[in-house]
Amino acid sequence: MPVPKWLVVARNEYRIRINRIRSIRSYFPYLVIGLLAVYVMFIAPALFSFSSMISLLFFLSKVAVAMVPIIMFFFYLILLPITYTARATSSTLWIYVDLHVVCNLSNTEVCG
Amino acid sequence: MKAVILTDKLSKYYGKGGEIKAVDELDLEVYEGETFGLLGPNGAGKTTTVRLLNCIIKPTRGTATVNGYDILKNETEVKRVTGLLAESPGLYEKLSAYEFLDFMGALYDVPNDILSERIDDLLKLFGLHDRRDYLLEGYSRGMKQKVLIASALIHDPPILFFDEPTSMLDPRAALMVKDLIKKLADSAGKTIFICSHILPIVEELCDRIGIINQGRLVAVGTVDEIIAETGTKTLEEAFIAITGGVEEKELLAWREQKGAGS
Repeated sequence: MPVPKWLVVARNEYRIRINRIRSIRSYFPYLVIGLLAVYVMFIAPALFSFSSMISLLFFLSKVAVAMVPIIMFFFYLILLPITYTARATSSTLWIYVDLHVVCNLSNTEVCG
Repeated sequence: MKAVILTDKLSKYYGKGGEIKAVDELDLEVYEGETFGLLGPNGAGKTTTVRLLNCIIKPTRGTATVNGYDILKNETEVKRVTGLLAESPGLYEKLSAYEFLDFMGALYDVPNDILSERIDDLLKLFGLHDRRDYLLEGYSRGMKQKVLIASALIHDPPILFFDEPTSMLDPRAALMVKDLIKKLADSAGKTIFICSHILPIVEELCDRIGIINQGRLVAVGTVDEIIAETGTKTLEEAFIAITGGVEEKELLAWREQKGAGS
């Protein structure tokens, strides 16, 4: 069965790309796979734990302190309109309640 | 004799409304086992003809059959029965000769068990076996040409097209390529189609020649027949007479007269 053309072209491209290491071409894939396995099993976890510890320390000591006022400012921007709206709604409600009580007590025509 | 290349009003036009006629209604027959030379000045349509016959470009009008396969309907089959040495071929310089031939063989679906043996045979035939693992970038132009001819032979096609096979070579390499083509024609029994404007090579190698000018085939026959037809003494004179080179000669004569007068 003929080899698919894309595979032939890919193999040729691979040969061209790695022509600098032609002398080790036969065991180059095994070397790459071995190095990749070592990286995945040992180097990457070690790097990750180290970098995560460093980044956490940096965040808590420097970034968090700088971020708090900014976060608070945004909270303020959100809370301010809500506060005003709540205050206005509360005033309207009181006026309505007062008027209702007055109408009930005096039984005047003002209330319809 | 069986015609392995047969063109029927083969035409290729370029430009708006097809004003540039690269090949115009070409009717040609090339017989099995012969070496046919297509001669013509620069821009006459030789390379376009070869590209049409190898299904690299499609004709504007007309058609052709190559080893019985129609160039419009059976492109893959045509490519399998032809080997092409292009005028300016691409060569992967970062591959060795063996790798390049292996790649070309794989593209032509040559089975692996046959391919390695054939590559070795071709490299031995062309005297490159000792340097089979050297990168092509380190090869001389003549050696590269040998590799390219080997790549045209890798799938063992019955018909070979050589487009200007010696145009970029020094005289020594040109002689070597000429000998190779001769050997292929004599011992391997291939049908060979050579395009060139170098007359001595065509004269020496070809059984029959065709002269193409401005896209039209203006003469076909053996060298002797063409010389006799034009009433000249050499192929060069016949070529100039057919392709209109006489006018050039007259122009030069006028310049000479002007030079003599002043």
